[in-house]
Amino acid sequence: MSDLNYWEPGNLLEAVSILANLGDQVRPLAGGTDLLVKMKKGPINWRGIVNIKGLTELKGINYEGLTITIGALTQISSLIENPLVRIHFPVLVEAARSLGTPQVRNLATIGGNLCNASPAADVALVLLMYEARLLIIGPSGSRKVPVQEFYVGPSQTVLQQGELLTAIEMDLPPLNSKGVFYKHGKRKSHEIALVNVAVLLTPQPGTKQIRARIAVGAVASTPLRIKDAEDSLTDSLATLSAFEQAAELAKQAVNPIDDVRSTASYRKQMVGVLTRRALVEAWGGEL
Amino acid sequence: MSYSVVGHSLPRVDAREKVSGSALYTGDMVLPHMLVGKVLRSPYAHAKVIRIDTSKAKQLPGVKLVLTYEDTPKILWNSAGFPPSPGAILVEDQYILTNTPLYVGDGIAAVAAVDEETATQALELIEVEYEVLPAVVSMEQALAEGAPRLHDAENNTYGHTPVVIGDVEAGFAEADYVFEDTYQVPKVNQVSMEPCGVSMAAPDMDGRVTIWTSTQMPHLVRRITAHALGLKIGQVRIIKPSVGGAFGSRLGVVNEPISALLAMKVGQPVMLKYSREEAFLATESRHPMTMTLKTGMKKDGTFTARQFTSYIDGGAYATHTPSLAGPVAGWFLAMYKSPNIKVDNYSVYTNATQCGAFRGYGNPQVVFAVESQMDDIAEKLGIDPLELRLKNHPCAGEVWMWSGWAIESCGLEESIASGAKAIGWTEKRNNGRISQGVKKRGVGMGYMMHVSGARPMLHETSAAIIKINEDGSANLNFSNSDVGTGSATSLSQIAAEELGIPFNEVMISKMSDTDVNGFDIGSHASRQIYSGGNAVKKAATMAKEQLLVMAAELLDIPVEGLEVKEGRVWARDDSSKSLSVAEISHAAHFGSHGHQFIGAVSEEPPGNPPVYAAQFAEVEVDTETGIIEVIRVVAAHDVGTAVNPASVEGQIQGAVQQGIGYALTEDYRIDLGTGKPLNSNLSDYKILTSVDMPQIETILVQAASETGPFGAKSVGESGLVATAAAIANAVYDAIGIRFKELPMTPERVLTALQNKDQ
Amino acid sequence: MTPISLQINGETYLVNVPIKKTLLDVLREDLALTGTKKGCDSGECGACTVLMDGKPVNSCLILAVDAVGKQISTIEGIGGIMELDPIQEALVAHGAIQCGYCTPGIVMTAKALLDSNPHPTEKEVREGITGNLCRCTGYVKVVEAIMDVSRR
Repeated sequence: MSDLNYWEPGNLLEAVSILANLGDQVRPLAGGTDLLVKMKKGPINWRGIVNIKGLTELKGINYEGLTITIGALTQISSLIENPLVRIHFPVLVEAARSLGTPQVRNLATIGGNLCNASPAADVALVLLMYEARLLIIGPSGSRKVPVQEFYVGPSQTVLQQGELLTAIEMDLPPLNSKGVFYKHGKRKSHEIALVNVAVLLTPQPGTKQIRARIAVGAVASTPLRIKDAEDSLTDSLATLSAFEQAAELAKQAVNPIDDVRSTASYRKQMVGVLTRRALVEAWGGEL
Repeated sequence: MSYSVVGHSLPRVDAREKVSGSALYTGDMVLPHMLVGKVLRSPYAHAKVIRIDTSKAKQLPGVKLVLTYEDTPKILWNSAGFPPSPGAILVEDQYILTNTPLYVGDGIAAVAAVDEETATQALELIEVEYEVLPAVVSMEQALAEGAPRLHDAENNTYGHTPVVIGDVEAGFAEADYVFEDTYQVPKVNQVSMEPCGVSMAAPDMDGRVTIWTSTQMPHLVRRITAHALGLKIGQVRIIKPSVGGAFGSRLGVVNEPISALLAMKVGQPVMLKYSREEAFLATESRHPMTMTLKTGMKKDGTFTARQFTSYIDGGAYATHTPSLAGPVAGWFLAMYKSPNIKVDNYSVYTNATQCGAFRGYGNPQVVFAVESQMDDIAEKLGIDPLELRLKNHPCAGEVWMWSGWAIESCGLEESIASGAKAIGWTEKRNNGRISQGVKKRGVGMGYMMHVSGARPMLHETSAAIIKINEDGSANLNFSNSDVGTGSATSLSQIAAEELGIPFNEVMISKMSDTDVNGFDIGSHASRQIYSGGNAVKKAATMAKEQLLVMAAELLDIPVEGLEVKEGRVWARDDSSKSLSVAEISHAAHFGSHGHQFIGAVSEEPPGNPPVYAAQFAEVEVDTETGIIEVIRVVAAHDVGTAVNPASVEGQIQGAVQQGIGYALTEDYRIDLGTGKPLNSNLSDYKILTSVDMPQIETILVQAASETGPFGAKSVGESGLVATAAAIANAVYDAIGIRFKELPMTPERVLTALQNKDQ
Repeated sequence: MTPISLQINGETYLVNVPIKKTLLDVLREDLALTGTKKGCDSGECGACTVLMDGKPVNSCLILAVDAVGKQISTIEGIGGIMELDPIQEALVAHGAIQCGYCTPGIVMTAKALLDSNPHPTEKEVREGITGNLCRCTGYVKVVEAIMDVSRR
């Protein structure tokens, strides 16, 4: 039985070169928590693994001004422990903590998780809420793609042959913003979300008006920002009925499916319930 | 009664080897020239193999053997681990491999190769042409008019067990109220952490095969495997090492005939280890059942008639199903006193994985239905639910209809009283429905009775041999079927207590070996302590008697004047006269006689003293999401004497995890069109993790039995029997909705809440 | 086949492995370190938990070639034949071991947990071991044992 081919490129150039030349015949290996499951399940039509964990260019969490840059090879558990992330992007920590199990979080990387492109992914959803930008390097150079444009469908991203996600860039959210993340499941850990919701509420300075970002996952082929629901809250006052209306719009905007984990009808209803609850919690004050 | 060894939470005899990783489980073992076995499984729920070509597989380097149906003995067998007994209805309808697969996963071929990868590739090279046949993958499909017949069973129904006591129609006529409800429960899997289905078979030069296997029933697996292979029983030797949990999934043959057949034909040892997916797909889970209960009550809360009709989905092969129908009837009719009772249980064939034994053996299903209806009855009659149980359950001294024998002891009153107090029954009951918030809380309870062994339905043979070594220590030769239950430890405690020597001087045979240990039925029906303990205690008594005879000779004191305590024989009236057991044993070995004290017993225990339990649950229902959270469980169990209290508590706590899963999150599902599994993995088949568990309080009520060793009864299965009912009743208390189908998923709860509002 | 050097329990092992072979399979098959168990082979049960540079990971999700250069600890490296580790002693004393199949994984996870957080709350212990599935104990006595060690 033939074995797999294996490369451990020492730098980004080498890695991109191998991936560009061999394309679909190889898979990049980061944490391995998705790749190895797929490899074992089979059947696989690829023949080689490019272990990118040696690429220092993809490591580290840095900030400059109001922008944080998270290396794609950052392990989920390191993300959770990083003081910058904890202080400035607490909702990302919550999403990361809800992923898998502690053992999986010690292996899985943020880059690998994003590129796995599950429509129910928790971290991707929160990055959508934080309006992150994904830094990609490939044979034709580098580009930045807003996370909103990164996902094309289930397990499908805009990454081209030879391209690697190298880092995630996020700006500090507007002053006094509050974010909330809910992952809805039948167990409290070990779950793939039936529905997940991430909401960022920003009070407009000097007024009682708010703006909102509403992201919903596991109810479409990719995680989604619900524009109708967000627009309904733009510069509106924070009231329970405004939140209920936004939640109803979010619910109307989604078309989830039936699968072994849940039903379309249930998921749709949960979008409404959880969006409303998330907005209320994010507001925090009296309504 | 207090004892020096029994009743103490002593550390388990196998704890240190398990915690250090040195305990050997079947899959850890290696023999020289060992091959890896793998099974090719049907992708269709119902088909005929038109053509099967194994030539390419055989030519693959590293493949030593490929077998199909053609190569297997044409002997039909039944996998259920039961001896020939009045209650064992063993319909023999399975071959080792088949050419007419009856479920997705049915074994078509088997290979033995040098490693797993080669074996996997060999499976891919086997060419099979199937004629796909119409399949009935659910009971609904199987019972529909014109459905294709499996095993030529009319209406796919077989094994009807009717029970008639009195006249239920007359009973309904004189009732003040008649209740009729139908309940449905799903297929759930044992999910032992060691995936079910691992055996290593090694042939010898004398026509025998030794099989190391993770099993609950060494001697019965020996019988069935020998039969399936066309061998004499003595040609098969079963050895059971450490086992990673069973819960009924290993209550009989799993894959031993396949590994043994491969090994004997290829002439080398073969290890056959099922993956987690195969454990879901190809081993026996709990029977889904549809149960209709029709109950007649007088307004004073007594029964005039109880009727139970059930359809039991047994899957593609009979295995346990017709035998289970008897206990199902027993669980039902024995729970409450009624002059008129009628039971009809129908076994149904479906094109799905066959079902077998899972902790409780029909009782979890029955009690969910009975105890759910009891709460509805209590509400309608305006009687307190606890009162209603207390009024109608069979008591000590009365005949227990499961066995036909008198009940030796009953701790239910104390269980209900202490459990109710612990959960805060009076304070919390009836508050849910009137509370204002989105999250509503409620409390509920369920009661149950269970067996200590399966007499008289099944034989309960156990054998024990105790030999006292010349240093005063004792070897306990027992067919040790401890699969994690702790029986090895508790049996050692019984031996030590009876012999009068310290606990750590008793060494039980760690591996069960059918060549060496006396015939023991195995680990099922919560029998190890009551039945095994009975044999162990008697063997100890026998060895002790011989010890005392020798001691009498050495001390010149009659036997009646002597006792054994803490490893010494003492003169009752003169504490200066004593000898250590070691001294006496040494003298026996090497003195004038030259013999060893050996006690050997093989017998059935005298009866079957039932155990009782009352489980209480507090739940919180989120009425906007339908999520039910179990906040607390109080499990009050009458186990008789608790030989090892920590072990008993552990058994109950683990069972409660399974009971909550049954109520809320576990459901093994297949596609209703193709029969293919939908959640044969641990992501989508959801067992509770450490953060999902509620607070559990266990209360041990020790209503000692008359005939059990030191008053012991049982606990193995009881812990999950009443849990689902307690939770369903608590949910009703919280939101006023009665769920008659498990699991109570958020989708079902939300739909019900919305329907209620309309 | 690729020759690699693995650091396990402070010892160096040289093995020849296929690329696609997992660390779990190399431990169990090539090195006869069978204390680490295979419960699902897909990172869902935690029975294969080992420590990699001190952190609990699923060894079934790591290629052996990818474990080169890391410090791997398995159950065989915890405690010894003369004396058990306090976590192991506590599990034994509390009756927290039934079938024992999840136990080595739990010991490894608990060890890492207490090394990084010597006095966790019960909630932190439960969250820490949530990646270790157990079907026998309901986790009750396991949590009690770990809390007991943490209080010393």
